[in-house]
Amino acid sequence: MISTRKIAVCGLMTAIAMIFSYIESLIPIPLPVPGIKLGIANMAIIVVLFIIGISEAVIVDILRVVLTAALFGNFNSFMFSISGAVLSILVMSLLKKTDKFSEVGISVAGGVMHNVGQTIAAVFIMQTSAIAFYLPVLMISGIVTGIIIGIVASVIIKSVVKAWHKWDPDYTKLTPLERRELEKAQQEIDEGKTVSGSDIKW
Amino acid sequence: MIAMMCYNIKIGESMAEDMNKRRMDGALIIILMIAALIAALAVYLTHDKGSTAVVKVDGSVLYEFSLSEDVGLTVDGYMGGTNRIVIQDGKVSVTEADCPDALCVKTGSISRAGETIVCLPHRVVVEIKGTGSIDNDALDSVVR
Repeated sequence: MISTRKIAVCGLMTAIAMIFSYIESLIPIPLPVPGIKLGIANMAIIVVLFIIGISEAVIVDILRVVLTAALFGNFNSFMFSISGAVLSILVMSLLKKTDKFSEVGISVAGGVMHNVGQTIAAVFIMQTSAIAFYLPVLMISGIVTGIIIGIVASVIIKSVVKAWHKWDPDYTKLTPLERRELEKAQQEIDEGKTVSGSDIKW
Repeated sequence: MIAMMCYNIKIGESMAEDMNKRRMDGALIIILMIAALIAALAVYLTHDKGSTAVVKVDGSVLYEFSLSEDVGLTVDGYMGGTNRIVIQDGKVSVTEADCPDALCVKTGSISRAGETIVCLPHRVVVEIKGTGSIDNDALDSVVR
């Protein structure tokens, strides 16, 4: 089922993921290993994965990588991020399908697989297998950041689900404030407290 | 209101399921940690003391130095940009680079076989090779 709500949330999350990808590239990591990232962009992907669905999450993730590379990156950085993103979203989708893992588990698997995918891409692009040397460190960093991102994502998902259920799709309804204002105006008309336009000397 | 109540009931029902999921998460994290440890062991056991430093730019080998000699040179990377590579006391390091993140400089010095200094923006790789072994990389570059 395609609803406006889904489209709105997907678009919002794509935008958030893109901004997060950009912010992430600005944060320096004080570790001498290439490729270590916080993975905050993955937060938005996990939110889509849990609230909307698997295929939408795949689309949002691929869109994020392509658009971020087009706006802020180059072909080189695109190759690295697309290989990481494809492997990570693949594994996250499979784990989500089993319905046996929470946000934290899926986020950890996604983080680790993102780094594994990037290492594989690096081996092919740089033509050297020696880069695999960094793989253990990258896997551990993927686990640590994955846990943090997963916990944050689960908090976000809880509040978004609450808002989702509170969301009244009937846009013709008034908010309590608008209702009060209108009632007050009606009361004033009834009591004759208003002045007619013709009484005012312009 | 009804939607909220349904949501709350659903939370109550899924409590046990949540505990189960948490246990599965823990198992997954432990499995991945073991995998990382195995990878680390594999990396550190298969690589011994290095003998030569190989400098590659964009996949092709430009220089090869023995670690016993002291060398200082500046390498031109892919799409311009330079990295200054220094070999001293059997250790290789990149002392200066004009890449934006300068990760290659932050990597510090390397001396063990299999260790690398990588500069992704300039596609420069400094790699340490082990003693006397013909490895696949060398053969690959011949075939290409």
